[in-house]
Amino acid sequence: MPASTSALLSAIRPRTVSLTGYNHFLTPLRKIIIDYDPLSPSQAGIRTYLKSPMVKMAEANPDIEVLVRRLRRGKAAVIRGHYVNGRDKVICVNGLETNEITNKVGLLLSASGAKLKPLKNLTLEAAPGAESARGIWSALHDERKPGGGYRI
Amino acid sequence: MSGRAGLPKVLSSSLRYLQTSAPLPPASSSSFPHPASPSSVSSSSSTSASAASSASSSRLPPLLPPSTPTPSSTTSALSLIASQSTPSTGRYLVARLHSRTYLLHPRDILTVPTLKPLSPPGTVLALTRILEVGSRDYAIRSPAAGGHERRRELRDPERKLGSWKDDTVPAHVARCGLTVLEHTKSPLELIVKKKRRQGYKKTIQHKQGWTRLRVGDIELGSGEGSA
Repeated sequence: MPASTSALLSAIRPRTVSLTGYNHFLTPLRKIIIDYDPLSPSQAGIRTYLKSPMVKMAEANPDIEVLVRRLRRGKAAVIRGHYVNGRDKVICVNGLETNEITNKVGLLLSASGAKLKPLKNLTLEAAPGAESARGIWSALHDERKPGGGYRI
Repeated sequence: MSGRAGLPKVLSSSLRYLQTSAPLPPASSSSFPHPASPSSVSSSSSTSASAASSASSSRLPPLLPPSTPTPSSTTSALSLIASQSTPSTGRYLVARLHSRTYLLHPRDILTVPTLKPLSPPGTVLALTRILEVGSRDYAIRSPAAGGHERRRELRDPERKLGSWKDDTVPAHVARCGLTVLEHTKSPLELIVKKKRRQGYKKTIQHKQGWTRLRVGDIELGSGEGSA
């Protein structure tokens, strides 16, 4: 059974796992799409943002594609961020001022695209497949215990 | 664990001050420990461990690793740690970030409340307050490590107040960088506060911000100088 043997061997063979942010870094955000209506009065903020702050943001982040699209009448202004993991973050910026829109774009720039999850109880996520450097605690070898470990 | 003459003032380089895990068997030994015969077990139950390990026929691993003379300089202490580990495996450090201490290994992901000012993802932050760096059997602890013992010393009225809080492991001894992965938030929490029959009800919306950091390799320095 060569097929099943090779599948078994590839499962046993050690593999190299690439970890984001370890000795290399790729920007997780790849594209920002700005949808706006040039005529709507509530979208004055995004129109001002497009003139100068957006250009500065695009120049500061050359590895991010920035796309600006015009909406049909009656639609709300929206900024979308497309990430390398395939997910996207969509933020409505209708009625916001230019500085508030800059903050929302900052949210897109500093996120990784991962789904929001509760991180309160996840302070330390151990390296995959890693062992503790100090070894596993052993009741028989614990010098802190009275008697200092096992005595026979 | 206390400072020894000849070592820099800020560091106390010592063997692991208290062993808590089983020592690894030496690489050259190929035999597994044999189960002890009934006669040797009964005779060794009344003797100390050192006598038992040599007298009985059972080959249990020794309680302590082979004793290494305490290194006389930081450089030799660092070489002991380096002999047991590489920058990416077998090494750990204890560092303080704001007011919390963390035990970190390379490639861990550390999640802390949002670090202000926001740095773009990919920024490498250096750990400046490293309290302890070590491998399986050896560790370099700074005077700032072991806060409980230090505070107890400070309460002693005869003791001169020292700057132990600032005596951390310097950069020429050990370095580690944290890469900012992202600044994210938890899902929205809705907290409802209500008092009965008083007409008091309010809803609080809370989204905690977090910064996720990837711990990089732990690089040991030369141990000399204050560069």
